Amino acid sequence: MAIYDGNKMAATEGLLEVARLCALAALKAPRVGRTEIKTAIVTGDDLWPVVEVLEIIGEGSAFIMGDAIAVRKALEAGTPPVLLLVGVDASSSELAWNCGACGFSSCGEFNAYAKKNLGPGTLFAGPSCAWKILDHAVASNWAAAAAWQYNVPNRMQASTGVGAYLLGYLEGCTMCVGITMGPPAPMVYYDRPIMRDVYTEDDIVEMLQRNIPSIFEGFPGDGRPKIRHSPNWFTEWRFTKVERDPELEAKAASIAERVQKYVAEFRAKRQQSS
Amino acid sequence: MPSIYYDEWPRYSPPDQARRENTLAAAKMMLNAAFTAPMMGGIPQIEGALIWGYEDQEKIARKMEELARANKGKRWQEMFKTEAVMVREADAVVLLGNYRAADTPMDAGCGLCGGQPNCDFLYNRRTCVGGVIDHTELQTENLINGPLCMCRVSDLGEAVGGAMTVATRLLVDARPFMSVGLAALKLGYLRRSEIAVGILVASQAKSPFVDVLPYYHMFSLDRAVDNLRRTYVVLRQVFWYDYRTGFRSRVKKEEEE
Repeated sequence: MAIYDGNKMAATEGLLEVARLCALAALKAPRVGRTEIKTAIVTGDDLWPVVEVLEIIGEGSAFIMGDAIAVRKALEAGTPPVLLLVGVDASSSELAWNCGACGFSSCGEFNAYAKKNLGPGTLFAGPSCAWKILDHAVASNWAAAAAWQYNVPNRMQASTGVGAYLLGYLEGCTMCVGITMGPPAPMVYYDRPIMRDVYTEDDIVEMLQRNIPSIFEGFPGDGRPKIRHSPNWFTEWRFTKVERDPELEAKAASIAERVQKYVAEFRAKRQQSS
Repeated sequence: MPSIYYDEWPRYSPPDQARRENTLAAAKMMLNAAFTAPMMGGIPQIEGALIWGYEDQEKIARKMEELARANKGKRWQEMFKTEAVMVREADAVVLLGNYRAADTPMDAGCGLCGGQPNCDFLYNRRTCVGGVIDHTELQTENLINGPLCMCRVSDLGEAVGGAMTVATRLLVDARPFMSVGLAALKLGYLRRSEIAVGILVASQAKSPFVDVLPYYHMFSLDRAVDNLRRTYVVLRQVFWYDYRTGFRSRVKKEEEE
């Protein structure tokens, strides 16, 4: 007989146990086609490289940065999440349904094109068989729903999926989503209490002005409406403008370069040690 | 009936109403689960209500915005205003209250309320006739007329937990709120209870109850759409355009071809 620390056990064994059952659910999920699903479970310190690569990508995407910060803070607090990867190689089709969803008139044509043109996008790789993408989505949904049945809320993320995919945690895939579970506390990935103080109120108001300008728009009859930026907007005029941003373009290029470098170095290191 | 068409937009359109009715079915099962939840001694003590529809949800939301001013704290105010938006965006409101917490306590001397091996703490702080509590007498100016029997409050929690469990099983989004429960109590729902919890229920693409913006009552989707309606109609009258004659340059090109 023994007494276990419930919190500690939930954080380590409990989450891992749920993730295992979710991986099983992903493999047992119903299919429309005959798609092979691949899964992996990333835990503990192996999450650090995911955080680091997401933080580089996140410099250009607040959405991805939010996920990186969430995982980083959980790691720093000593309660690492468990990341379930659900992936698929959708770049070929054996179905011979010739359905046309991919844009080719036959699976043969698609396979020939895909073989020659397989390449990365900003997130995943393609071209893809639509039914494999669909089956992969069903499988990842089943995995997430399985965790839900254990009352473990989770979040399906393209971000952690992409990070792990770039690092080679789930080889032989063209698409991969990450399902993060834990740390064992409510509201980790929803509302993100840990994101408090990451952005200032001014940051957020500026984001809102860019994204829902109609709320900030003054009377538009002038054809060039003033933006209601402060109570003095009538005297201190400000306007929106559509323009190029060379600084942002340069940043995007630098991010792509640094991600490539990080991933290449990580993969080389990983190959050496194995 | 050949088919039922579902959509979640525009709000309260026939396809959206069809969808809402399904959420209602789930909300009804949540209420049953609340009643079958484990309670001390199996004593009946829970009352529930199911509220839905534009007008009733709006009524609760407005009440919450009023209650936001009941407390000077900025966090309280933003919480109530934000959750008022969530009430408007929800498909239904499940209300659960405990009608024993104020006047018919567990009488087990459990110690939860006052830290004593008896119920003195509670009885001494409420108006009694003999030893019977008259819960209609106000004890405080606060929103909840306390103190309450903590055993009963605990059982209300069991009821909420049961309802939430069913929500997860039926895959509808749900989240329990103090603010919704209090506003509903003030409006006269669950009139036997002194404490209530409001569970908002929805089945939409994005759960309305998480991941919101700051000052959400000003930047909700409804406000964004409303502002677009405000500016868009003026926009049509800025540069003027006769669609029958079209742009001269394009018409000319067509004629040449």
